[in-house]
Amino acid sequence: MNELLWGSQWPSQFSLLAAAALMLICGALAVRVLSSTLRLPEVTAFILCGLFLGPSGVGLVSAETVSGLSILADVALGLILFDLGRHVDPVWLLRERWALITALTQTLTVFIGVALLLVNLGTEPLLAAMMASLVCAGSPVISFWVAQETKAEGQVTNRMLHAVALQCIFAVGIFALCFQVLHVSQAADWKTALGHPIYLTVGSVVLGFVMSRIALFLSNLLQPRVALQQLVVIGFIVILVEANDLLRLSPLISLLVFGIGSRGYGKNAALQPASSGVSRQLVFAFFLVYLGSTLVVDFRPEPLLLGVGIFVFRWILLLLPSVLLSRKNGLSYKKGALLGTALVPLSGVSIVLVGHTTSFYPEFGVALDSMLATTVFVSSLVGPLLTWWSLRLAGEGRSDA
Amino acid sequence: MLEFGQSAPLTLGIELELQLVNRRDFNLTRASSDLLERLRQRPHGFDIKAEITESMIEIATGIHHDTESALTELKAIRSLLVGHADLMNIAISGGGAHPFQHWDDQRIFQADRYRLVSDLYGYLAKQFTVYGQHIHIGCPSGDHAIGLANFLSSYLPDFIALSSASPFYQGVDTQFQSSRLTSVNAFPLSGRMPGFGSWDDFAAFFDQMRALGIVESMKDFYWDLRPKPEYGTIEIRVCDAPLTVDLAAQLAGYAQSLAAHYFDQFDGVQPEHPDAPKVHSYNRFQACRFGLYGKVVDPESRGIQPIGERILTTIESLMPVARGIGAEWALIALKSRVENVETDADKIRRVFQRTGHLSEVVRQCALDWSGSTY
Repeated sequence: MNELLWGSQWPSQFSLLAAAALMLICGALAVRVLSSTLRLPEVTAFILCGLFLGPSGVGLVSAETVSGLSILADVALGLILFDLGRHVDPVWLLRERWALITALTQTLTVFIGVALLLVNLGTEPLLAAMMASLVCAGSPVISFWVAQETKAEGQVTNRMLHAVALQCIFAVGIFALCFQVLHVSQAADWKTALGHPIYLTVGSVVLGFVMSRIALFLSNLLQPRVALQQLVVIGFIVILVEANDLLRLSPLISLLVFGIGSRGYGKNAALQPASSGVSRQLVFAFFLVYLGSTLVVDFRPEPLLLGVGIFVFRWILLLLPSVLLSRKNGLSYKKGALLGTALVPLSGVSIVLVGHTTSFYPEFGVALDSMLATTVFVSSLVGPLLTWWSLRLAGEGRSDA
Repeated sequence: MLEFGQSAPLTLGIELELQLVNRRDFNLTRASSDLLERLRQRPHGFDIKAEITESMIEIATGIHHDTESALTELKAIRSLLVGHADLMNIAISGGGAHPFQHWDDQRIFQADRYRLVSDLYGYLAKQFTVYGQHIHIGCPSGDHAIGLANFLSSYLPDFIALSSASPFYQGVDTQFQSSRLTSVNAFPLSGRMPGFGSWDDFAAFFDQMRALGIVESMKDFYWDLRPKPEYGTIEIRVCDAPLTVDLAAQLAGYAQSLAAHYFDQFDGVQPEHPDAPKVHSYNRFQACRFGLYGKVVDPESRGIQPIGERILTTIESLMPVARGIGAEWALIALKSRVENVETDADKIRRVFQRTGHLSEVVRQCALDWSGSTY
């Protein structure tokens, strides 16, 4: 019958484009149903939709399809990181050093706290340190989208976006250091051991910055055609995604730096946001549903307990410096606590770093992956809600948004 | 009966409504409650308060006898605000209207008064995100205040033209030098204050309006000019917020000089010309639309004169009284501004023509307001 109607067999799985379309349509429906009925943030609805469609759910989007869509997801992440980078003002961070100090303190507190906890639970110190470095950073995607969704503006939002970007950079730095120790412990030569972390961090920064200068120059030539400037930006983001893959650099750092470096004033005020309106919604929706489809659910008591435990402990560790330094940041203690809570979503980029580890040391990477998966799962579902509530309670998210 | 609280004649006070913008694209941002919270943590002694939407802040000087001391206080407030804004990653700008904000993005400041205004006026409340300068001049009695109001009424186009700083609105060049007053016009009790023969007449009018339930306090009158009985002043409300505190003080100097001239010439109420109400709206439109090039009708001589030309004549005649009250420097600066036809609106347009970006326009306005150069 199928052959009569279609001239070929009904495909056993969706093509990549059909899967992407399915993810978008289901994502929109999920937001309509979950946000309206349960008052969940859009981010959570998209992630739940991805989880439902993906290999851990009904499997309409297979593991193979998820893998095939990763290139689109990388570009979407690039667009999001670029736009977040444009919200980060390095000149302001030098002026308001407490914002910088607070972000650094938050990162180090989480790193040291989680590492000590894991060592106390019997984890090998190096594995504990690497795991801790992976949970140092907040989620740039979730924080940024919740801020966009609620149209949040204010000091908690501003400091949250700066903190999450800084945490990502610090976390990659700490991870690279741990990676260096791992290299040495695995009897790698010192040249590799020292060179690789430096190459990873400095190389990513330089790549992002150089690309931002070139993009700014080209954008200036296209003034005042905003649409053409956006094309240039998108083109450069795709190039950066490819270049990171080719050069084995950190897309997280280079794309953030690309965004930060493209903030231009005066004669250099040309570069525009990569996406806006419907295109931004499209990029975020696709990435979040994709993120949901990659989540791995492990309902065995031990990993679930560990995941929830690390998530809650990390939240407490984020609260400590945020509240203690709130006055230095010109915030009330309440807003300090809300800032710490808003940063709870965990960066999904840590999974990328695990993959990086696995490519060098497969056994070590698998051990990390199993520890991290449940924490990321719990964080992806509960984290957006906490960020959403925090921005609302701080009076910065719009109640009508 | 509404009482007029006396104040020393010719004392002055300046209020400025200022734009709070982000430093990313220089759009308006929700920042006033955060800024006020920071200011509360460190006592400063200045009058800084919220306005109707979260992207506005209002500053006011104390009572001053001369414009130079008012300017000194404005600079001190500016320094305080810029310091906090720097740490908050926001900027503060003058200008009568933000060039590209969208009114629906604005958020009403959470205070009873503003919630009531929002409930009553609907979308007009958010559209009221425009920024003005108010100048208070002290009057010895209610009758002096009414007389001064009648006198100043015909000079309002001068203030509009001199302060004009809102050529862009909602991303569009309005072709007006001051588009701000168009937003104010939408309010039912806006525009020209009716002429009164005495303070008692005014108080009776106010009591009647209150009895009818139309107003609750003087704040409900959005007139171009109104008495402020609790301060014992007349308040000029037509000016766009200038790009610099210097111009704000100069405009106050012009108002103070006109008042000094009036008090020298008359005692008590001098009624306005019977034809003044007929030409008021036309003259006001000319000033908003064309600024210094606008042409106003003099109801007495029935002649038509360019506003810039009339200001120069007026400044010349005011110089002797200005010298006596320390406002001469302000009039000299204004004279130069008129001779060079260099208003803030012209400057804003010029920056846009040069850069092609309204964000860049606001950034440079913010630099101007902070006293920096670029």
